[in-house]
Amino acid sequence: MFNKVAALFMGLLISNHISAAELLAEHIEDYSSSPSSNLPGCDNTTDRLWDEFGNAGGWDRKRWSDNNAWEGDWKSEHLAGGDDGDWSDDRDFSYFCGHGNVGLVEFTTSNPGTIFTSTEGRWGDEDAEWVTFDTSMTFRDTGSNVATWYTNAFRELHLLIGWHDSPLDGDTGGEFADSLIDWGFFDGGGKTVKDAWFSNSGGCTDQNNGTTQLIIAEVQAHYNDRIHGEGSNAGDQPFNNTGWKWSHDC
Amino acid sequence: MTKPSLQCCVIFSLFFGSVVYAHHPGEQADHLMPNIPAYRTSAPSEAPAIRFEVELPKVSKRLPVMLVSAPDIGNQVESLQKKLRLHNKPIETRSGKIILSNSRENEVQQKSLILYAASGGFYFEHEGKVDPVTEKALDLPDDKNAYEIAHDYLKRHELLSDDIETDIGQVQFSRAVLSEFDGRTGRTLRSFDTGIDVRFPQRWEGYRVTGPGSKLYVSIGDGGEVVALTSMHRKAKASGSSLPAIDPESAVDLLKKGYGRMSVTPECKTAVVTDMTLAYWSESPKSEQRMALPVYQISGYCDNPEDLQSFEAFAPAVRNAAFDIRTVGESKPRRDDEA
Repeated sequence: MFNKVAALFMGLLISNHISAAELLAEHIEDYSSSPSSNLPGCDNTTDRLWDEFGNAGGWDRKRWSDNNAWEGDWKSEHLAGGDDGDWSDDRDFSYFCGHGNVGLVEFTTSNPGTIFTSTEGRWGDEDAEWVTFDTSMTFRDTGSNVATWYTNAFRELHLLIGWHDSPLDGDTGGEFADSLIDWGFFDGGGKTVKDAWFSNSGGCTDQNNGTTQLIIAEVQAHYNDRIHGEGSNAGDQPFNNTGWKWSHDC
Repeated sequence: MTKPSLQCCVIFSLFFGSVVYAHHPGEQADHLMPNIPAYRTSAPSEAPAIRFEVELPKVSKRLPVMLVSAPDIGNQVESLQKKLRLHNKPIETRSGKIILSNSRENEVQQKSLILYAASGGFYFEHEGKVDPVTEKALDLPDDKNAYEIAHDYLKRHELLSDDIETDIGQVQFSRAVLSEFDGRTGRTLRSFDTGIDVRFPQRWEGYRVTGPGSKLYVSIGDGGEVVALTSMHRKAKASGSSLPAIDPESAVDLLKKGYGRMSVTPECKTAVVTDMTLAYWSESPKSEQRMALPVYQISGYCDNPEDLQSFEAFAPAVRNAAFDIRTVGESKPRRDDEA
């Protein structure tokens, strides 16, 4: 009898572990150590994204901010100083808000560096499905920049989400999350990841006319993905050397 | 609202609500900027030099402060329900939105509208029809036909207002593009337009309105069907008060000193201005905005041999002069308003 109860208890634990979706949310507001301006909007919008996922239920959430948000959390563990296997690639959905530029994301401490580049991400070989950099021009479509992100980052990752242009420091992440998550009659969300990012009541709400977004995918079917608990997704797909990109003006 | 309380509202909002002062330590800022958030762009270690390839705008000595109307949400909801046939009971969310939808039983296609209670801005869509995933080219109209479809739609649903420009020469067209590319070379293998937006600009007092709170887009999908509408444009009128204008050269000097907002690549040594326009800033549709200030909206490119990237910026357009309470609400311009 004891063995049966223990087995049932262990089974419940395992099934809960398997079914829990996982979020990593990071932001940097304080850029006083660099020439870049502070970003209070990143603090607010990451708060809101965090709350939306919390309210949705079923999400195991981790969060780091300012000096505790490290480049190593995003850098492949196969590269020196990288630790993505414990953080961004250990989570189904990862979000970072801060400063960026063409092909890069800026951190404020050297853990292991302050600049994360297009050659350093490898996601999906562990658990990542959707990675968002809510940073300026990180996915600027210069041709080679998008191809470099794609060939390095996609290890069964579904979508790499961000900006070709420079977003203003508004509530991008919060509105994105609000659109991703449906509270039944109490919310208007539950959109696909692509639609939630592109929507003028989603990732575009606080942006100016013409600010261009970009989403990179392994296969087209991933553009119809909904996050866990909100519908189905296309499942992991192996890297195949031809990627997809979708550009949209806010 | 009575006139005295309106005046109080104007003064309070201008100096404590919708305006931020840009300060550098030890300097007294004598200009005003609208509440424009920073760009999330890593700044270069040194500000780039700025060169003009465009004639600078001519501006009056004083510029009007705009008084933004508060939305009448109750009437707006009722009106939108009728115009767009969204008969389900409105749902208010915790995040300040009101959701309207149709009855799925009566109509095959689900339609929904999200309205921001703070501003009255809304987004309406036919779910699943906006920018669909596709393996073949969609049947989309050309610009002229798209304009006609969009203009007719707005007129038919009585969704145009006097401050919206409807001339086809002023309207913008924007297409979302889905492309397959070769990962080794970055070369595009095939691409599809997945929708076309017809975007109608807004003007107050003859000046362009910009910002996330100034959008009127009609989105057209496969077969020329209107699949979404973004209507986020506040109504405003001149408050009767004005502020001393900053001339364009002085505004760019302020920008170089770090006032205003700028987004450039780290390699940008010289930013070449190809467009500089005076515009009013309309805030996020999530904000309650009661006043609007002018700002210079600037765009161009970085003149680097190996990196011709675009740049964009906002620079202050008005001085931080004390407001004369006696002038608030007057419709006549002051004598020195003349250019």
